[in-house]
Amino acid sequence: MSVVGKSVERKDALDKVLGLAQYVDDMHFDNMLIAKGVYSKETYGKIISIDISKAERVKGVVKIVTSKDIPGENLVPIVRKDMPFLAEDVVRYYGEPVAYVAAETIEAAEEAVKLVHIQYKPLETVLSIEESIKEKAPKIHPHGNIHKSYKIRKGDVARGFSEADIIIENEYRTPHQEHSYLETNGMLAVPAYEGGITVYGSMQCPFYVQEGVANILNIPLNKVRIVQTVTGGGFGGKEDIPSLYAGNAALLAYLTGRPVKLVLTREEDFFTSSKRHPSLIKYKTGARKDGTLTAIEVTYYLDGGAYSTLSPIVMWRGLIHATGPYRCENVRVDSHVVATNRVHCGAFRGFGQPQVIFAHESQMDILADKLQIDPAEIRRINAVNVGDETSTGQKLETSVGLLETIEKSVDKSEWQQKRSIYEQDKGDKRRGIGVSSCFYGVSLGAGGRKYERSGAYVEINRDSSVNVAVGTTEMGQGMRTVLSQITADALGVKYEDIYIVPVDSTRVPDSGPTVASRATVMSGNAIRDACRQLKERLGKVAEEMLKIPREVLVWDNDEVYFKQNPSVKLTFKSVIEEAYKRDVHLATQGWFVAPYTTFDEETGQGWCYFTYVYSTNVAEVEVDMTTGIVTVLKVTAAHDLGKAINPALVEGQIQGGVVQGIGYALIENLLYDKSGKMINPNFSTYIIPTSVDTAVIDPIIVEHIYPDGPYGAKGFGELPIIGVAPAIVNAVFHATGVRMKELPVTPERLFSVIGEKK
Amino acid sequence: MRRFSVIRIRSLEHLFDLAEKGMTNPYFLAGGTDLLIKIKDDLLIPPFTVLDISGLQELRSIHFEQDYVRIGSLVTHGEIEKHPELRLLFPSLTDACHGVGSPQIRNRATIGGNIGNASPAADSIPPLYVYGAELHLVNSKGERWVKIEDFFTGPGKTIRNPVEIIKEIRIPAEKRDYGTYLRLGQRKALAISKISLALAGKKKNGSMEDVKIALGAVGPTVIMAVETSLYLRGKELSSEVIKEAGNIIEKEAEPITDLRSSKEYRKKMCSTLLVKALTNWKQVA
Amino acid sequence: MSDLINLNFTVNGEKKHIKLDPSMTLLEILRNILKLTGTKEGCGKGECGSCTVLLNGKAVNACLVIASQLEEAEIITIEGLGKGEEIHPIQKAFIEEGAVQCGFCIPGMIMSAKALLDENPHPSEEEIKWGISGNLCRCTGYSKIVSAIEKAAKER
Repeated sequence: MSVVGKSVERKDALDKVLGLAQYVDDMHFDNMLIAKGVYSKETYGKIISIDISKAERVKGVVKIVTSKDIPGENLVPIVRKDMPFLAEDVVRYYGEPVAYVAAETIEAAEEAVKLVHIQYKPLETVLSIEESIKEKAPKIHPHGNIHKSYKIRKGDVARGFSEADIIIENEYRTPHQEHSYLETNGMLAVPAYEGGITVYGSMQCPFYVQEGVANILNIPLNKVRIVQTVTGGGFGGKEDIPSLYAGNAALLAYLTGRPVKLVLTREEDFFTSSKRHPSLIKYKTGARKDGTLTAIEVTYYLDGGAYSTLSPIVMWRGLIHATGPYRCENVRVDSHVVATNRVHCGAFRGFGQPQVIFAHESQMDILADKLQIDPAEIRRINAVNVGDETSTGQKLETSVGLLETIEKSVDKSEWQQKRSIYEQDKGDKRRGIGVSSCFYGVSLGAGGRKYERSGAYVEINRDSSVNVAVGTTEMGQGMRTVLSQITADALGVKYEDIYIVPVDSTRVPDSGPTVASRATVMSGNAIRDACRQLKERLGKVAEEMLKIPREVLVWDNDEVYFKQNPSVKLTFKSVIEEAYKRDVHLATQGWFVAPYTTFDEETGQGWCYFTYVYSTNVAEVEVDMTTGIVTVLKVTAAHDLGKAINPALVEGQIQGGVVQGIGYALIENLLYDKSGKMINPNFSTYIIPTSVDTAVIDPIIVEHIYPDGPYGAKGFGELPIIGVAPAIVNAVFHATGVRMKELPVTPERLFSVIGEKK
Repeated sequence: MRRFSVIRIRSLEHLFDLAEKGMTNPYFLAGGTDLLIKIKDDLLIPPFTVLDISGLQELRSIHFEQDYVRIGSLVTHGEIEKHPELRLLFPSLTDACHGVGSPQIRNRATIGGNIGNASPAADSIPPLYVYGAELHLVNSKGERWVKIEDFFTGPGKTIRNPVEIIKEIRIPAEKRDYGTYLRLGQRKALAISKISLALAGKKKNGSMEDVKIALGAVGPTVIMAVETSLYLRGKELSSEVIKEAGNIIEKEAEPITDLRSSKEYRKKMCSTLLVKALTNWKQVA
Repeated sequence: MSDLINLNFTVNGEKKHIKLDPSMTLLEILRNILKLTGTKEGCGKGECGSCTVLLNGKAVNACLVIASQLEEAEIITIEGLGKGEEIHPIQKAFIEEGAVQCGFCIPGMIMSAKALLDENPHPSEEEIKWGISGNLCRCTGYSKIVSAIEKAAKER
């Protein structure tokens, strides 16, 4: 009775519907102080002075820290260290943390924040990619304004373009996107014995946070205990920046000797947390008359904001996927992530891909239109399959389900019929249908090789219940449920008997970050390794009990039985009881190291990810030509993810990702004034979709088994958002004949382009 | 500004007594859905006093009389939106109230609060213009009736004195042939209008007789499209008339660009919304 | 800032008499004083619905109601929904339909669903969507939440 592949109920659902799940703000310690940040009111400026004297006199204020108070290194360890925990001499964006106040009450803390007086000498700002790459642009960092550049070189693009019958060249732009997890960032730091510290908080990557706290306090990692609280959404937004909040909360707790809670308001979270990078993409595509691609040349810029955080690897992922899931022998991609005086950008579901995929899927659509080929057909013509090579020369050996995603989404959405029906619309309301395909390299790949391992600790208790400790985290995606299913099947026990222990750095192994759709494969495989070891030990016990060689014993459904005669059996419980009597060690560590990946920065070639997931989205829209308002009617989303361990969770990921994609395509955008201050840092002006802004979503699961994944799974989570925006924009083109090259496609923008066309 | 001083008003007399004694910067709290956000955003300069009038039951009812419908200022948007008789008489108003915020907001936000707050984008106000509403303002010194269009002087600004209370809204109980409210927001729900249009009109012998049109979020206050109304008077609802009315209203409106929309778009949308409204009228007629 | 007021009100059927600052929000009262932390703060400005509770039977944002408005009020929070050991049918439907992901919006979402079904026991899909349009969710895309409310309505 396998539970893998079944939509079992989530482990955490009951607590959550009862309101019992403890998020960090729900926690309380006696003697606890409340922290509030003092954030820069200057976009780019030298700090002349910081005067905390008035603020210190506010009744109830216990401690105010600035960069001078940091005993350790004032740098947040992310990919490269360039972001301070607290600004020292310079602030580089509006909202940058300069000081933190800890007080007895939130009222006192808030009052003190207003009384901290900071004098700045303003510097000339850089507020866009274009400004940042100008030759005489002001420098934001000593090394200049390029956080990082990467390239791909394959074949000969000049030859490729000369072989093309058609060449199209366009520029695309995409905006910031804010994660808008419903729970803002928050940390609670508590002094521990022997000079240690415990930090509870909302996060995706406890071991990043651990390193951050150790760094700011200058204490060893073993003195820093990190406990992840129930986390109210992440989407990448709680990957890098929680280290900053945790570091500052820990600093206050360390210096006051008291518990300190730092929970951000929505505005503070908008101002200080990482965003999806805005982009500028110059894209040139060459193809033959029959639609086959001959050359692709891309220059891809990302606005990394004031600090690099995860930008280099975000850029790298975008680079590797810049040509789309298509065969093309001649490729040249240059990518640069640049610094500006806007908020730092980091990880957001899709991680550098949605931007460039918007560009390449627009290009494919334009090609199809110019060549009079059906848009789904042109993707089929070029789609990668087993045996094909990626733009970096990686041969795809197994599990390439792209073609099936195209076929299934096209069939299920009734693509052909709707193409012709919608073309009949000539009035004020016009419908259209569009498609996009994409792929996503699972886990960190060669870009994050040092984190490509995962540990799991599995322990069978005396009563045969099972504890599993992994260092990857639950943030809503359903990891605790999926890993419980994997454990249950790996041991042949009931799903209900599995408990994934809370993530506490003193109890769980460092499994690397919970990002990049990697938890299922990485932790899943580590768990299977541990379960294999345990079953070997239990096999010896069962073999002696049944007098049947363990090689022919089957572990399933809380029983172990003889393969040839299932009536010869024992309960799992009885084997455990016996094992305990015999002092068999029923706890063990599993370990998994990701398959080989590599990337050569010089040649721009390499075996980048150990496997890829694939998807095709078909979007249907209705455009009101008199207002420019786009309504998404339906999205049919087919995803090849290897094996769906829990189909209901997969559907939930698709539905959520599609709606985030609708927001990205049509409404979401951070706005800045001329001085570089974000002017819509809240949910009344930064608009995300509500329940009535959604569409009918039809998720289709395609399973091309990945032999090295747990039960064939490749991982899921990031992919659903990636192809949504281009499918919508392509549908808008089909409806209106207007090609939008900048996101979001607001009514104002679309209406004005429709007007120009008239 | 987390803690602030609040006085719970027990009756109008209580309010007038307090007013006589004098208060520093009084602000009325009705539903609280605007005022509390302003306080949280530190937009009110302390010291100030919040006068919680939400408990004044006498301001909570709706009365249907021979000539007027009287709506207490503390009636919520939710109560108006779901009121069957109001829907029959003033569909533009009930439609408008339905579009405000979210169910949670509509359950708290009052019509008096929406008026007093004087946002040019407030949804309940344009319909009150087209239905010729009057406001009953009362303070310790006396009372006065003010036409809704004379009440506003700018964004967030009105002729109301600080301790003068909007007691009720009176609307002539006149049945029109058609009424509608159309709005565009940045999304379908939970959005502040970036432009809105209220229209109510009558017909006589097949021609439009009295068509009132008000536009929200296109100026410092709600504005009446007077020229457009004049143009429509006495005309039949033909496609040509509708199109021409659209052109006129576009010239009449002088919107601005802000973070929700642009001037150009808003101008065009005045025309679009009017055309939609008149076309719908033509279709139902 | 103000004198404290004596407040009499009912929370989840329990009468409360407490002395507090009249400017304190209902959300602060629930979370900080009564330790009912099931009601969440997502924005503090009435924009996300995470703090939705029932006030005299109607859904409201607890962050936009203050103590002075609560005299004799009847409040129901997520903690007051089930009966003893038995969970409420809406809660059950949310679990069964897989409507929960990160869970932060869920208490507010369930309270809005309760207000909706109390007023309109058999809503259409469209009415359900409008009924929860004041509750933002960033994980689920709302699909399974809408199905859960449909299911709860059927089984009532």
